[in-house]
Amino acid sequence: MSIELLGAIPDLTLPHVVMIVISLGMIYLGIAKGYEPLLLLPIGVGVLMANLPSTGIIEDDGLLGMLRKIGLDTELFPLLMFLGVGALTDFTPMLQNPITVLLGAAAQFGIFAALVAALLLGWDLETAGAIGIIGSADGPTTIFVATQLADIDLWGPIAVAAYSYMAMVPIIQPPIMRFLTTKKERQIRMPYPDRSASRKAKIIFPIVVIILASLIAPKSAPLVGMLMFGNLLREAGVVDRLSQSAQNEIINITTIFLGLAVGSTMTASRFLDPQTIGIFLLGLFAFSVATSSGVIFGKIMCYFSGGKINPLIGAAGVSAIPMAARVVQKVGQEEDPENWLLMHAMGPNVAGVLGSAIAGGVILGMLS
Amino acid sequence: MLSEELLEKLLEGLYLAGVGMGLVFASLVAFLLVLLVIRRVYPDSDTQSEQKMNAELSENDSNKFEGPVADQSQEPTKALVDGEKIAAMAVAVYMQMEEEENIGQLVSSQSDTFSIQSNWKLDGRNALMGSQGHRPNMYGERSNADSKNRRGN
Repeated sequence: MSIELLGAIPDLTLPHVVMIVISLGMIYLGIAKGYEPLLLLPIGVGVLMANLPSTGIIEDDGLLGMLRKIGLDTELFPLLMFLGVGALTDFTPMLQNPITVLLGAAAQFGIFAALVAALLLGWDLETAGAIGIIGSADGPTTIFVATQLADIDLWGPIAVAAYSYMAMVPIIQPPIMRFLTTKKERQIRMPYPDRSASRKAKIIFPIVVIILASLIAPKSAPLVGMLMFGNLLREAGVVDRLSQSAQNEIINITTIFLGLAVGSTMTASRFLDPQTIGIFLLGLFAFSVATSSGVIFGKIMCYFSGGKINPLIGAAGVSAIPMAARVVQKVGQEEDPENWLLMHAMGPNVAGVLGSAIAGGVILGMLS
Repeated sequence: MLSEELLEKLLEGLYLAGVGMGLVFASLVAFLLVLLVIRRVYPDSDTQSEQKMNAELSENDSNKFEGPVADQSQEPTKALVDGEKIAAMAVAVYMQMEEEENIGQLVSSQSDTFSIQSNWKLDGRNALMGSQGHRPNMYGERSNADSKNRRGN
């Protein structure tokens, strides 16, 4: 039998098989366990297709190669994702209770702690920054920063680590939250704000944020600009078609292509490397420190507010929206079933989205 | 003991972390101040409209109250009679409503008894009662749209 008749089977090596198994694991986790299926499923299929030998699909003129060039090399896909995220995000809880913005800032400490740890473990400064950004708990921000600072070999592991830990927020956060707070603190009931936010405030806020963020951290302008533009489409109330497109078609199409493109960077030669394990461990460290710093800052705010702020809501400062806020609600209700913290936690949660975009811009400004 | 290279990296990392967190906090504190200003300049529209509505309502109420008196200013006794009439009507309506409520309670307590005895029995009775009082349509009023269509009309 001629060897050509066997197709690509003779080219299949053990690393290929390992990567195919990993891709099937991702697909399984996405479908059967529901771990971030919107991203893990396309990424898994991208990994699968990229590791089938001799297809040429990841070459520059191949399907996945073109997607990577168009969407990742140019940083277009993460920015389009942020447009959709902005259109989907309601900043009202933050506008109702502005002080929670500070919790969104405090939780970004995980990024910088992981950066220091990565530096000490021997990574160069740019790569350390790209690894640290996993602590932002924000997929598009992580990919946006990683594609500018890290080698292409690390894009896949960093993105997968970020999305994996975002899916594991309900597992990672509760033990840290319980460890850092007392039972009495977890039982604090927060008063609901006596007023909502006016439409004018909701419209002016994104415009002002674009201006301020671009002036303070210029490199964050693309991320914050798209996030706030998406939010302006939502709040303006006169461009419902555009807002709906950003919330549905644009973000859905981009999610598919972004997932495939990121998956296509995870070839055996790049992914099966000891540094991938290091990236996953540092990502976990970044997530844990981000949660801890949010809760500790929540405790500080609790002290200064005379016990009116439940420190648990600080954990929602990581931008994994709305999962982190739901975890706060769940942990709070374990101590007091009548305690409704969800809306209070949404304030720091949306502030976390904003904070992570700013932190991404700051990292890029300092390191690129 | 940390090696010199490691110490240098640590200091560099701490410097970056300090500056980075400082910038993040500065940005978000700026947003916080902006939020506070926006909230002050543009307070909640719901609260505003609620206040406006309350003001209008109280204004209308005072007009209503003053209206008859002003209209009947030359005949104060008539205005007083109108007020008495209104009060009497209100009491009558209230008493009537109370009476209906008592009857309703009586009916509902009876139906409760039925439900305790047998829901099946009550359902059957309701179905039977609901089916009464309906005559079949007269021959000429019966729907024959289908047959018309069949004839091609």
